Amino acid sequence: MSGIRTNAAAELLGVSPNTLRSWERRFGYPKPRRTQGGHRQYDLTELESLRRALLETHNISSAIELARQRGEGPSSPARLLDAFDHFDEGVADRILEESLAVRSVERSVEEVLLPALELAYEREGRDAERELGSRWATGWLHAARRVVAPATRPQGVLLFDSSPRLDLESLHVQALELALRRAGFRTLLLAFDLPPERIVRAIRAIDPTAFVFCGGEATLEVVGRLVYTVRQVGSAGPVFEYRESMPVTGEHGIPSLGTVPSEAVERLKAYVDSGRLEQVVVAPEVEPAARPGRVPAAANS
Amino acid sequence: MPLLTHTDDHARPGRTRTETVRFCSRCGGPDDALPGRPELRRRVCERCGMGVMLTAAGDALPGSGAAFLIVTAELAVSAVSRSGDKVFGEEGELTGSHLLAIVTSPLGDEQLEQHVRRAALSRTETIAMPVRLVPEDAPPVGTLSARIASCGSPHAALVAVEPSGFGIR
Repeated sequence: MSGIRTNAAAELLGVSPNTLRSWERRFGYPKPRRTQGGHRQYDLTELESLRRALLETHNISSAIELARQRGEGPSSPARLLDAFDHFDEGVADRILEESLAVRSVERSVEEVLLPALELAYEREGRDAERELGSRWATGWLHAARRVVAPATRPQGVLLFDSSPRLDLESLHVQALELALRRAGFRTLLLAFDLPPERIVRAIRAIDPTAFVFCGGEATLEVVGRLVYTVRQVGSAGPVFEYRESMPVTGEHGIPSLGTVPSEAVERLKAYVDSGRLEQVVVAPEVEPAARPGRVPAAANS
Repeated sequence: MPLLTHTDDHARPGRTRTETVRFCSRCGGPDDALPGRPELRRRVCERCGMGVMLTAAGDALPGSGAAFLIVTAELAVSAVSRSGDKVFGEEGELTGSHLLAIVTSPLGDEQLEQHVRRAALSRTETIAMPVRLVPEDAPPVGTLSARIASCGSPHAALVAVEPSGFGIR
């Protein structure tokens, strides 16, 4: 943790050292550590958080309360969401950089990036902020993908994504693609609605060990056509679903890779290392909520 | 019929528009920094250290150390001046409260709401209207004259009150 002395901290906030000490007495914030010599050492993250909060509020106690909330833990989803709300891509970059200093790429994606996007998508009336977040996250995931080392495993994985562009599910799928590549799989991500004849060359080139349906917007007809095409090409690789993407509810017999990238990677590894589908959890533990346009599995049999 | 809500004379067409002033959201004191050098302006009040410096039209405040509320466009109180503590109640207890839980207007709360919301959303001329305190245990100050003006940043309405001498029980 980087720290600075009282005078520098006061200068950074544009207050006198006495004011800074009076805030500490009255509000307990910013709370400095003490050096061995007893000098106050202020945390830069706290100061920066407070400096920004002072610009957004009308009184000191509200600013301190806001800074406290934002300062919880390094690079939290709330801080990233806040960067989206301020249309500040520089701050968003920095938050992820900070996260990468203490977490792996996978954990940064699952504990900071995706939760922040989920928060952004839950809110109404913040369409511009949401779109900024979505585009920024797409760029970040692409940049991370470009620096992944070449595949170390012989197995290939073909992902079919049925989600609309800039949709939250689309970002989940991109996160899965990144995780699979980082795990050493040869990975290809294609749109669900490509005509079957257009994917034959892709299947032959990558020779997938597994196929994964993602996105949740597919229809039964398209799923059936894709599986038929895959089998026609001669591929016997199993088909999985990710994040309850199948257009039917209930038991459909298609093994699930779970709902987060690390879980999906572990299940795929378990499958390819053992060669047995039983290694992959098949039935979801909780009945998924029906999505619009879905058909119960029983009606499909 | 006389107008009970009026636009401040200084802000009328043909008159010189009042200069803007920077003041502390807590002590109400003016900013001593040199004008025209925004990079040298401090956000926190150098006098009291407990308020942030806001900008408003010069005619918005009855004077240094005035009793006022800062109110957001959602009509939530976001700051109370130190003098305002004695009129409206303690800042810590009032922050986040709805404006109409604190003051009401004999001209109708709809008008009060409308003026405050408009001032909080965009820069408007200072208007004055009568208000009364709502809580039963409020000090017996009778009808107050409230000046409602835009202030910021961030954008908000400044509701500054002074005694009108009417209706004191």
